[in-house]
Amino acid sequence: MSEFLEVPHDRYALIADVVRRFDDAHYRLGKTALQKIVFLLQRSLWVDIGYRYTLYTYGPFCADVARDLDAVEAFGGARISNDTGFGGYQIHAGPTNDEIRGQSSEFLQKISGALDRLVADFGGLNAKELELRSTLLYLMGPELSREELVQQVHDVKPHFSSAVIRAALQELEGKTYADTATRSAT
Amino acid sequence: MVRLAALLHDIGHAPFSHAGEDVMPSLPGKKKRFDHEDYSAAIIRRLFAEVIDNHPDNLHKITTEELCAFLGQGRPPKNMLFWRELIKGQMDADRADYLLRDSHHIGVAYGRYDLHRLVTTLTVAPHPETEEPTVAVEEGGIQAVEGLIIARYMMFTQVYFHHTRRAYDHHITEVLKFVLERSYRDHDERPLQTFLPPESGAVDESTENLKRCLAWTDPMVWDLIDSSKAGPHGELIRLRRHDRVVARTSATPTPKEVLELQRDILPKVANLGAWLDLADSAWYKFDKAGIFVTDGKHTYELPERSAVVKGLEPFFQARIYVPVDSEERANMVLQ
Repeated sequence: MSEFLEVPHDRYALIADVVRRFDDAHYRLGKTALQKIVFLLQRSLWVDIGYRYTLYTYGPFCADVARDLDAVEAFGGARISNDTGFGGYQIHAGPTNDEIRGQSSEFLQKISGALDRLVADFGGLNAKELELRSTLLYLMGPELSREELVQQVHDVKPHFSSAVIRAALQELEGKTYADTATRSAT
Repeated sequence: MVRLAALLHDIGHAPFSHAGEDVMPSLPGKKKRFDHEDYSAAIIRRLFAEVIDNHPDNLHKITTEELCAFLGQGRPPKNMLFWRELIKGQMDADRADYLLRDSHHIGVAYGRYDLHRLVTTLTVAPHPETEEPTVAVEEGGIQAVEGLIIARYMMFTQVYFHHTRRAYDHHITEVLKFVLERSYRDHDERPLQTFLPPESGAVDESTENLKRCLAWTDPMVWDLIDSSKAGPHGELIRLRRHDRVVARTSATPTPKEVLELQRDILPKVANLGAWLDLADSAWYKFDKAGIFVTDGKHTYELPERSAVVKGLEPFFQARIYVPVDSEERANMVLQ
């Protein structure tokens, strides 16, 4: 029907793999964190999975990612539980996680380095911290100065002080995520 | 701003709405196509600027650039981000409307739910993970939002992803490719099978592209089909000889099941003109994620508070179609 029509095995495998990696590293993965990790993968590390993100008050969000997570859960690749103590959701690998990842092993192999990097750099952050960093990268562009960007993010997220936004930006620059993002379009 | 966005957000639809989406050109260097929202923003920017920016009743000095940004095409205007959820969210005005409208026009009851109750129980609550303000439903509105989700599920399975309707979507897409290609040929242009891109780099060229896209309307394409000028797929529509399903997965298949359909079964009938259709590729989706309920203290995703919604499994059926003339042979091959 469409030249872009592909059975989304790679997308399911990506989600299953992120879930597995967070489990293995003993990091907590919620729905927001998953959204932001996939966003960072696409935006800063140039892995084009075909997701299109829109910015909301809670940061960049893509309904297709949410839908794919639902699918992976229905296939048994992930278990999602509500954890009121944690303030949201916890996603863990389900019984068919290996099978789902195994169906796109070549694709996962290709992006393995990028995912290693993302989990190491962002795995320990909570949903709010990820939301701030992904919003910074979403709004970043070559036409904005550093201070204009900080102001834009502050406008969108007034409860984050300019100092906190600046620190997050500095961290992204230090890890070279900001350099790559400025070259891409939202 | 919200009212203008609501009014104009779908103005970029091709003839036959989402069926024309597969005839939009690819985004430069991406695995995705432009979509109707890209066309909507470009049309607003190129063709509505004069009307909106200089309108005497535009007391709030809303600009087309702000409007496009609000619709998701750029940086959002200050203090407007929250309102985007009403136009482009999991429970937005469009989704609330089209279920009821489509049900009415099609003559089915599947899409009906208690809109009034839903609207009166809408509220603002902190997002369960980020605590940012988001649209939610009060506890007293759970039954209304359950009604919305069930309506969405029924409309998806019984209308939007109905096997015959999807066959006609396919034929309409092929018709559009044919008539576009012929039209470009008639103008001695490169015979593309897509609409012209909404943004081509040059302002004049983009404006001209958009005007040419807008000139394509449903009645114009119907006329071409009626007068047998819409190619082989136009004839299939005219004669009601749509493609037929010869294989399908279960409604919620395992990944292995989909893989078998795609890699083992499809090649066996590929020479008969078979094609694969996925619920995942349909524009209208059955979504239940990202809808929030609040009890005033905490915010929850709907399935956490509704056993009915939690029990609805995602619908991911995949199907193989063949032309009607090949149906018998395909069934023999696949027996």
